Amino acid sequence: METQPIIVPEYSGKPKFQQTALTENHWLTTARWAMFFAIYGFLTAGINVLLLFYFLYTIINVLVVSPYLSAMISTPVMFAIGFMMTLIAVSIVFLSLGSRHHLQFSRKIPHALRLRDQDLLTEAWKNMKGAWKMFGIYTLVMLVCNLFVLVLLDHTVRSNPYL
Amino acid sequence: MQPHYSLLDEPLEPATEKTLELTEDVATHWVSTAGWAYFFALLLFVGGGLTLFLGVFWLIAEPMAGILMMGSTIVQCLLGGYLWRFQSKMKKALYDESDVLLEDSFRALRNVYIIAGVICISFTLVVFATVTHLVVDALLTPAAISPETID
Repeated sequence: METQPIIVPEYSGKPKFQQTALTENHWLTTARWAMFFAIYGFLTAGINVLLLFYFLYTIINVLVVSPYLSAMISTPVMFAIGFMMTLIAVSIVFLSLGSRHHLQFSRKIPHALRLRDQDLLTEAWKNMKGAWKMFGIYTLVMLVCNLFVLVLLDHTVRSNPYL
Repeated sequence: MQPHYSLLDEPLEPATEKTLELTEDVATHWVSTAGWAYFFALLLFVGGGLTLFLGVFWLIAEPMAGILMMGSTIVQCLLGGYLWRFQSKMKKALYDESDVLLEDSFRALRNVYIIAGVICISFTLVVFATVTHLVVDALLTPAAISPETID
């Protein structure tokens, strides 16, 4: 008598449920708003670039054109200006990267749904995750920097007898 | 090679009969996104609590500022609530493998984007109106020292 092999069912690695048509509709609406946020983010990053150039232009003017004025500017003031410029530069990087992820998500989701492209769908949600990650890290950096400024201000006020 | 489509191409009708599957990769990305949504929800609830606390004090000293802070609290809590719903329903949907919970979860994410978008547009309009008001005010106000007064 021939023995039958025992087939052990294995976990396929996929969830057993499917997205509904309404869920896909929610994805499309989210993609449209993600496009809005991508444009908004790029515009904000652009304004920050202009602000950074303005700061650089002012500092160069003060340091090069007017040596008397630069001698008057104390180290804490220069540190504050440098710190603010660093924050603006960080904002530009994170806003651009986050907005890029949002833009890619908003472009990929409609195509993935229309072409029923599995890889494109995975990439789209990877982009969404990337966008949230970027904005999350950016928020954390900004929170830490703001706390640092608060502590620094508190220290300055306490150590200055005239204030 | 994948065909290139622009955003304004055809309407979003499925071009093939293939079905999309929810793979483990997609689910992993959703879980990561839900994790960050949890972080933002907590941050918004804490922020909402702080503005509520400050708003109560401001309501006595400066009622208008207090009312604005109360409004800010409501918006923060609303946004935080939707983020919370997104992440909790997403985790439950993946655990229970439920279509309905998944739908609810993405409805909450869609609402987060809509509310945040409306807030962004309102904020931009307020900033634009304020800047325009300041510029117009500065242009219309006569200068303290004009060439006529010097003579």
